[in-house]
Amino acid sequence: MMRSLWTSASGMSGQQFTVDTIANNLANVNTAGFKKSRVDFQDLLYQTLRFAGTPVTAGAQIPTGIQVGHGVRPVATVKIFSQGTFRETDNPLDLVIEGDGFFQILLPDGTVAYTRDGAFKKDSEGRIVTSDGFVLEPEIIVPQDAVEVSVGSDGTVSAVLLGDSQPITIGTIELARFVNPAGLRSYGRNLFLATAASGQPIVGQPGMDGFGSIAQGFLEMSNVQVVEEMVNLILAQRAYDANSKAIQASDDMLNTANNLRR
Amino acid sequence: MVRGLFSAGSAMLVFSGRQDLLANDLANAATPGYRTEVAPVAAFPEMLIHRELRTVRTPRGLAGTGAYIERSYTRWDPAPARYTGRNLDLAIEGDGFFVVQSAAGPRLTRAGNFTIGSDGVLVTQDGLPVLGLDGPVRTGRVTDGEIAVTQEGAVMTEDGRFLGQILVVDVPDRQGLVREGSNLFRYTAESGGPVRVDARVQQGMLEGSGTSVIGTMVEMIAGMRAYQAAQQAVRAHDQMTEALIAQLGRTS
Repeated sequence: MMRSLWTSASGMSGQQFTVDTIANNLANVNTAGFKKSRVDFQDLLYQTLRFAGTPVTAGAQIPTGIQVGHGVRPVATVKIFSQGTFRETDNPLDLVIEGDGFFQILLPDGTVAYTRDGAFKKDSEGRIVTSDGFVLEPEIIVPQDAVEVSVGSDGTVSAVLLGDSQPITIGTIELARFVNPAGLRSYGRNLFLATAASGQPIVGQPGMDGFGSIAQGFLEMSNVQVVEEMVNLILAQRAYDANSKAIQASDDMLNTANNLRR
Repeated sequence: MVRGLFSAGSAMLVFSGRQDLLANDLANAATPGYRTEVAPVAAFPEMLIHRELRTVRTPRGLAGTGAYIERSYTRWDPAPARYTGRNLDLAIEGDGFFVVQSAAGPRLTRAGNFTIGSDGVLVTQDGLPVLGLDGPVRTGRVTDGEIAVTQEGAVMTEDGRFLGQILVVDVPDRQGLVREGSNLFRYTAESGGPVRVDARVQQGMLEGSGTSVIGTMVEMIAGMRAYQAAQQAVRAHDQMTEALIAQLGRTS
């Protein structure tokens, strides 16, 4: 049958994949620390029906051949790590990273995950944890009798204990950077995992060489722009429609061929 | 008689082949740096036909013998670029190509949606290194957020450290380039080798696809109707032949 049927089918499934990605971006429009994704496409292999440069007669060659493509495939979902908007919350354990870097989170199985979501809490033992109860790495324990916790821009966490006037340092937050953050694997729960593509984490102190600094009492919201996603949604839907029309056109042609003989 | 049948049949084959090309253009309506392909229809050579009557040949005029697709062209007109804000999206203004190192040698591409490999080399989404003036562009331990690309294609850190110069090339005859898929073009003897040109690179922009959805749709409708018209011609020939056989075969 016709190549174009499969070609257009690849176009439809590609655009469907785009819509899936946009839907996830829009679903997470208010998720703290969420980073939007984008689908990047590539054309598929080409079949060469006629090679350029084939001699036709003495001294003459075909200048351009005939090549037929077979459609499209998604090649990557590129995560875009631009900064999200900051929202003031006045909660002392809501932290944002102004600039580059990730908070390090220790998962129960011992692996370290990375997040931009700084909505931290205290657990029953006073440890600073994520909303899922995963511990911030390196571990920081807020004493039972602390009245006030403050986090400096260099990641120093200090607390004023009951009856004292001077704050004491109870720990330091360290951040991790990656050469290729786009290569991180999304783990869900606002967490990312390191992969061979992202490279090994580079750990350092906030505010130092290339690391962002920390601000207390703010949350980084998602970097999803609703208008942009809507425009992309319209484009994806129209491209989907166009490809379905191409399938119809190919189908009509096949039908026409079938009616050659009545 | 039969000649007309083949001519009309050849037209059907042409429009079915063009439909394949149009479908590929539409499928790639969102592929960065994609370029559409057009296939002009060529006529088979016309023949002088004669009438032969008792060894006297009188020329009767020219008869066409149908149509075929002789070649397909790539349309190199610039495609619209859009602002993405992503640091490693690069668009070439005007003519030219990025050069990437595939396993089979250097290849050309217009798709500038790059990323950084874990070894700190600027790569395509397939992991092929992007070539600079002296080998692949190495960003070292700089993350993508801190990379600035000047209009001339120089890759710098935010604090002005020079990391490399992106290579932008062009070929003498772009029609000689062969499409390889994966957004890559291969240069050949017909296209001539790549020549470095002055780059005009826009950071944070990504070139879209050269497919015009409206234009492709119109072409598709026209092709479909031409296909149907050719089918009608085939059927008319068929009916004439049928009538001929039925009439001539009558004995009473």
